Amino acid sequence: MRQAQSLLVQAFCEPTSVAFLEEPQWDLLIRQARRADLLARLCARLGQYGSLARAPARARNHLDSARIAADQHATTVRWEVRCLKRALSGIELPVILLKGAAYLLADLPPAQGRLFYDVDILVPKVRLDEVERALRKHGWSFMHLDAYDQRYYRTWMHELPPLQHLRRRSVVDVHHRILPETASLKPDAEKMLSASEPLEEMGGVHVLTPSHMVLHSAAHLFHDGELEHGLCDLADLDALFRHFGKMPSFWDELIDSARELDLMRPLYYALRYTTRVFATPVPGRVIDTSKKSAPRVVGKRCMDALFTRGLAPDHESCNDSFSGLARWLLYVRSHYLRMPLYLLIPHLVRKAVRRQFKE
Amino acid sequence: MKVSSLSQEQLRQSLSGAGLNFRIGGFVFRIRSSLAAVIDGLALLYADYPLAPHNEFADFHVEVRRPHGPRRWFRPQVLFFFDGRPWFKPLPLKHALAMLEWGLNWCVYGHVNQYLIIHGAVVEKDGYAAIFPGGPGVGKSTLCAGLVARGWRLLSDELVLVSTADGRIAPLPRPVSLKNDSIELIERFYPDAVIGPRIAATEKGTIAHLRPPADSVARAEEYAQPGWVIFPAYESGAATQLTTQPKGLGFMRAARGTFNYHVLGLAGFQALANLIDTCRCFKLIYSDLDDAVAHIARLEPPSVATRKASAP
Amino acid sequence: MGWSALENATLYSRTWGDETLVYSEASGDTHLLGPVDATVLDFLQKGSATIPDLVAHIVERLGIEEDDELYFYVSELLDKLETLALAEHTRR
Repeated sequence: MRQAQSLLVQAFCEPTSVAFLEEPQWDLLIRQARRADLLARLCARLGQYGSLARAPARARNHLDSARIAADQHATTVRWEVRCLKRALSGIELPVILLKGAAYLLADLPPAQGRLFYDVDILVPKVRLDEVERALRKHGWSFMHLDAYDQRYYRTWMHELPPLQHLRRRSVVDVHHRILPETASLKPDAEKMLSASEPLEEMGGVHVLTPSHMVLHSAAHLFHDGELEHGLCDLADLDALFRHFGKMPSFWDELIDSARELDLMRPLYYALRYTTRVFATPVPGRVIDTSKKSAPRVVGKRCMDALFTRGLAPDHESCNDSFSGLARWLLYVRSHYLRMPLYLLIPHLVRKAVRRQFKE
Repeated sequence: MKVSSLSQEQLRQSLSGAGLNFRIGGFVFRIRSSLAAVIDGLALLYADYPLAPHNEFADFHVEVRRPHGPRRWFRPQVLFFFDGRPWFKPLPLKHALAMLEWGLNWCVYGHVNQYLIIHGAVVEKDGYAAIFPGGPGVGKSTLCAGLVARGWRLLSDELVLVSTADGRIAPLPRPVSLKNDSIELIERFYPDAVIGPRIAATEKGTIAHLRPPADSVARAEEYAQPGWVIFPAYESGAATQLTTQPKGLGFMRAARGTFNYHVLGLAGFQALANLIDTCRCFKLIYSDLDDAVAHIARLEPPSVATRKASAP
Repeated sequence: MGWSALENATLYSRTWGDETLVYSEASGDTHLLGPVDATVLDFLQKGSATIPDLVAHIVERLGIEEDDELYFYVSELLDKLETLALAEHTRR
């Protein structure tokens, strides 16, 4: 039976409350955090509130071990950005970082305890070929992909397939769009690109403006994402809202940007679910404005049922009998929003068959 | 309370139900399985191990069971579950015990960063640890079993845990995994040994597990000072050669065989450099187990060797 | 053309006889160097240097004869150190 609020979310919302946990609850908390990929972030959060000392020694070891791994991820990403900067400085193009790498280099709260995987960068569409050549010259090459995957990326998603560095094995995703061309929403990447802001401490590296950063994250989670790291991504949004929300002009800029970029619906979901899960402080007027982009009542109830389950840790203690179905429907939805039906159905069949053979 | 204090039926009921908390080294593993081979294997090989209360924090929750669906019956398979999620591709059902052992190793080297974790065997005598870095096939498990047969304490046959805090070696005594000809060799070399059933046709050939001596299990919280790093290489028919290993190269070899060297970053570099610095480093080529064990037993610990070297 | 160690990339080392281990905190890479390579890297960490500077330093520290072969070796070594992200051309 699904708990009203997982131990994990409780610990995030009220870090000092872990002082009252018994050993079996710590056992469950660590397992929920590990499953949700939030163990290192939990460590950082508890550390901020002086609650780490309350953990039993072996639970503390797991938290510390996760933090050590996350620290190394961060070192790797900083190095990757340095290498990317070198590669792109030759064609006089700034490195515009997206998602995790941006949070890290801009020293933003979602970077603490984060596990980073690929580095995502945004480049102007007209310079895509130059970027591809520059990266290949500096040791990146396309990962081994079959003809179908190449077509998936290049023709249907209008993206470059991921590039892997031959020696370091690190991966860079080169984007020139925010959402795939076949998606139903069409945010203008060029607007985000031209508004991007240089980092003070590192010349030649840019990040998106605060409102664009939030909207990009919301679009990725609620329109594009497969929800594999749903709670992580929602925690990012919560951290960004709290951090940027202290700036007086942020909320108005956020609404204006969302309208301009046609991202009001993902923003609505972002606000709805961060406030429900993490009690994120958001001004009432902002919530009211976003509600105008809500789906109709039936749709809203449906999405609530799906996202409440999809955003919980995918752990037996947090799932109920509909969780599996909810996650599957959200997965199909994310693809449906990305590609037309005549492409979607064969794509899903192919993925299912592949997964079967891999086992 | 030890595993041996439970009756076979109690063991079966607990393992098939909510599972049992096994205390292994500094870790607690919650293990569940209703497979006879696993239950019998645990009863035999883990008889001397302490059990932790059910409500104690368990580091890892694992289960070995058959998959749902057709492979439950047709060419039956077994899966390793980590906290309810399957890891690794399925194996034939008769490899269930081996799968549990491999899975328990993975739990530690995949998730623990308080230690530098080197792939290798480690045994201890008179407070000093002899570390044998190496992957499958170099003969480290055979050597390890041979040394244990001659009175060395078993710390581990697969994972060398070097504390990043103080450089000492933490025990993680578990059944020693013997392969192919080694099984018979150790049966002869170590008549008192308790060896589990032979598991044929695994990826590594035929496997059997040697139960650790009760003393090694009882002393599982007693750390050891690092003494020697010895890179073993079994070579059929070769005379025993124990020669000095240059430390720089030794470091690079050990680093390549360390599961979490890159994850630990600077702390990993320093821990491994300190280990190599502290230890006397050797290469060992051997074919005769008795002779190899005798050579190793004659090695002086670092403090004695250093004193001798600096004496006028 | 001048060379120097990489900016903002602290190196940690350990030496046993002729072998020097170098760990770069920035890249997370570990390298095993011989005496000439280690001497060059150590010199570059103190400031930028040209190839003749480095050759003179090696001759003085290690007593190696100064000849064309040594110049060639140092030149190749610097290219290798650049690939390993341990050294770079200094910007003028």
